[in-house]
Amino acid sequence: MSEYLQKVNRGSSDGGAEYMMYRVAICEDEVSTCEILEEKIKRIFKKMSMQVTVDVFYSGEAIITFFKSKAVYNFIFLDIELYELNGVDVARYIREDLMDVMCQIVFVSSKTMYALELFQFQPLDFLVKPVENDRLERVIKKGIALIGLNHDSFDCVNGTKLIRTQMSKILYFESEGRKIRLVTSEGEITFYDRLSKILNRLPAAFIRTHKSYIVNLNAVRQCRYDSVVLYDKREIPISRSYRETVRDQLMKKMSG
Amino acid sequence: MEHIIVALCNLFLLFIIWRYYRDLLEPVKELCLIRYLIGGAWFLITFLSSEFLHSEIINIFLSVILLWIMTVTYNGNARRKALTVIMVETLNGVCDYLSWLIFGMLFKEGDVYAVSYAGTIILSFVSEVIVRKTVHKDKNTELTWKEICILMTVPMGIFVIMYCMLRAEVSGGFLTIAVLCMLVICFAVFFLYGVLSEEHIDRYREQNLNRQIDSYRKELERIESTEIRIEGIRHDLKHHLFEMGKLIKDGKSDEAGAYIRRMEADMADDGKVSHTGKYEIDSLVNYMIGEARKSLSEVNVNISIPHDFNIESYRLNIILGNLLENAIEAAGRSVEKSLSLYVSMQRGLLFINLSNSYDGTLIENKGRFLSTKPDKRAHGLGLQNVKRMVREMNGEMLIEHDENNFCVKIMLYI
Repeated sequence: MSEYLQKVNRGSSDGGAEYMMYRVAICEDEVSTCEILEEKIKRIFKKMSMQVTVDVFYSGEAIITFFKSKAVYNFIFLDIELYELNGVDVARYIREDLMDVMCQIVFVSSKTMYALELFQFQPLDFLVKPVENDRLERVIKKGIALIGLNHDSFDCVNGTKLIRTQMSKILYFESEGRKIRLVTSEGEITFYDRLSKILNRLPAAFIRTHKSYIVNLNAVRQCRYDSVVLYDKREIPISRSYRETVRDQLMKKMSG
Repeated sequence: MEHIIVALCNLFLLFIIWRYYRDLLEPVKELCLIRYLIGGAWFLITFLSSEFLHSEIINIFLSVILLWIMTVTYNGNARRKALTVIMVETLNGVCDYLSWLIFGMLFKEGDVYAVSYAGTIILSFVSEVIVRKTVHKDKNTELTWKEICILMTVPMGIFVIMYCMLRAEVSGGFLTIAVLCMLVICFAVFFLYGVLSEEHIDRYREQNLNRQIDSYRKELERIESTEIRIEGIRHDLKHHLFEMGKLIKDGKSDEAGAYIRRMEADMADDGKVSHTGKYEIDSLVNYMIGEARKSLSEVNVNISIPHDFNIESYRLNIILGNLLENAIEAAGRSVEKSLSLYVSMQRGLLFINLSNSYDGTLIENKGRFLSTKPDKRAHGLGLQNVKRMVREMNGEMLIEHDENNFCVKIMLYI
């Protein structure tokens, strides 16, 4: 691993102020590009007085091996064209195997044409090499804003136990009468409540698609007219009576 | 003579029924001949049944059966087809009754039957226009209500003439000839209205096509110009490498860097803002943004979509083309002269966000934004056509504006 993995956990800190430590990974097989990108990223975070650690990987295999040791990143700058495992494979691993929907993936490439396949992984943006500072700064700011919206947790009571679940891990809620199934990327929790009350406690990323379903938009891979498809390939229906509302909400939340 | 009028009326009624069907269902082009054959059968059977059986109920029954059979030559689900048949029969019946009320009850003697049947046909023409206008209310290619009122003066005038003729007790051959001529005039007027309406649509399509061809031509010119530049660099590559090698060897790294940057600029600056790989989109956007940059001071474009997504390029081009045309024109008349276009794809949805500065002048009518250009009819079509197209694709469109900025947001399913 050490052959491929260098410069792990070198931090860049302003010192003093207590801010969230952002973890950024760069996965790029061109050493010079890695160095330039790393330097730019640290400069941008320093300019925003935020703390960041930047890990650099020179292959898809290296970053996936590192993921297996439970590493979590807020941002991944991922070269699309890598040897062996390419950027698409890494993105697929992050979204489908790890079910990490909150990691902000930024594809980096020398090309300007992108296949539909790449968009399935909800990248934050695409950057063309050589990466421009302004564009990189805009992308990082956008990512930080999105990360900031999902730090809350959801509390529910199962029997006598209070269970706290991170919002980012919630896929959807399903109701069967007053019995609610909270489905996360790690399992399911059952409790009793009403969906309408639950919706009031959830952030804007959650939308009601059916009288029995509330879905986390971040966990959605594809929106269709009558259903949404999650990253784990589950399909949640959008009932006829909710279609217009869902379209309105998607428009307002995602159109920018 | 009465039989001639009845036969001709039946023929016109068949024409009206076909128009109703075209308004409410979608004809299958390949089954055109079968449609005519069934229509012919309808004409013959209903004419013979009314002439020899003299039973209204049997006539209606036979008509409904044949109209239902005719729906096989149209697309649409069974429910829609059944509703169409019921609606057509009901409207014909209502027109028949109204005409009978006007002529049959006012005049007990004379050639009332033929005249009232002619009246039925005229009222049916009117009814079809109203149905068409109502069904296609978002299509600005149809006549406005004002123009329809003017069109209605023809059938109404004919009604008055027929009424006067009956009052003047004109009868026999003269009445028949007069009624026949008036029917033909009425048919000609409504037929022309249909033809003009189609021509208007064709002209609009031609306009879009010309714009597309123009944008392709400009894109090809741009590609050709870029290729010439790249070819030039390739041709001189050996020389460039030699020059750079010499500069580096002499320790002139700054000059070598500047040399490389000049080469990069030559290759990068192709004036392109859209390079998604989706040729139809790239050519249109590059062409229109190129035009925008000539008249506006600030143009921002960010297009991030795959080159291989499944959406009808023709429709997307109409949407983008119309929006950009309006936005560029409005921004050009404003003080700020700015325009921003963002196109992105997320979660299987295509988002278009186009905002532009404008001079604050808006003409809004029942939620519709009309053009401020002199030729309102031609230009006001743009936003309405976009809205119609977005709806047809089950998408969503949102318009937001304040006194300085106008923004159109569109979401489409891919």
